[in-house]
Amino acid sequence: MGIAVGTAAAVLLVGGIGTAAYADDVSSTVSLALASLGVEASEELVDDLAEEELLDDALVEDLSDGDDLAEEVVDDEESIAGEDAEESGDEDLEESFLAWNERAELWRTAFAEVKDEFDACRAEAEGGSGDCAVTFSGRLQVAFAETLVEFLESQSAAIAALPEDERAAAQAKLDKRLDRALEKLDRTQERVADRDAARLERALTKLESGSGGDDQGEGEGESLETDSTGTPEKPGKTDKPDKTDKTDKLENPNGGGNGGGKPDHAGKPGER
Amino acid sequence: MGRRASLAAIAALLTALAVTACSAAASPAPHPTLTRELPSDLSARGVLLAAVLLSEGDVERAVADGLVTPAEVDEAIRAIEGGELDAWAERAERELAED
Repeated sequence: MGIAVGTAAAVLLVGGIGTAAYADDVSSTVSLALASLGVEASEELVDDLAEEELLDDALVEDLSDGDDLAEEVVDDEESIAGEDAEESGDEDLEESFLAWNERAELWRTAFAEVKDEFDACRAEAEGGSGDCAVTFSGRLQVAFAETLVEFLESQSAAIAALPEDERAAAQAKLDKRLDRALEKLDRTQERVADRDAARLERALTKLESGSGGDDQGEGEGESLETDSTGTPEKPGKTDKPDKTDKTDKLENPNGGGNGGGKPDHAGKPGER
Repeated sequence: MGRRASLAAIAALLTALAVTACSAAASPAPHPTLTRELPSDLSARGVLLAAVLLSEGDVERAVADGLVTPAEVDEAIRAIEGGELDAWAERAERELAED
């Protein structure tokens, strides 16, 4: 993670020279990343991995929406000036491990809950499992945003235990991260709600035009009546989040939620 | 004479057994990663993607997007720390070739 951020900082510093270090193209990035981890992958495998359309987002996201991005860039600018790149890469990887481990248990729990719902949806769908994948993709995204907020809120207790002279700075940093996480939660909920509304509208248009058969129409209608939480909803409700009602979501981030995911690996039901 | 022949035959047999044992030892058993049955939320491909994202991206976003699973991230970390990512790459190569 830091490698990419560091490289981006380097690109900024030298006015665009050095773009080779952070490859423009996803295949090259995958290949370089694997090589840096000591893996020599065939071109076919690299291309196969790079074909994942969501991979590009996850790679780019690191440069635009990561926690404490500004701090990381500053750190990496300093590291570029003097440190050995390989050593820096190892440290960045270690940081990445620590960041994951920090929230991994929350993640596993959120994922397991969403996956259970997804499995139940597929079991009931009888051939229409594609709708389950779409519905739960939003479910998992919101679960992630909620998990991040939940984690950050839980850190307040740790700050309270700090020495008094360190508390204010730590709280300010936490507040900043929490604000960003809440904004991200809002954005994610809105995106998922908009997508659900668009799906509903398309389905209604299709029904009105009579292009869908009765069975198909009913099936799609049923799936669209499921909001992004997987909870049955009335058609037409877009599940637009009430921004003033964050508390409920934060108290029960994975239970009362919205959002969704592709628990069966990236919206490819049955792939695994 | 006959006794000497017998001893020679036994020696030859022992040599043959030793050579067989040595050649068996020379071909190591396949890495467990290559053969073990994987749960539904774990794939070689996913482990490699998780490793790439741990190194160069936002792995949590990838989990949120359903690109990789928490189990794959956990396994990627174990593999990187244990120097076993090669085995996952080999498994992914094999699975790709079989597709």
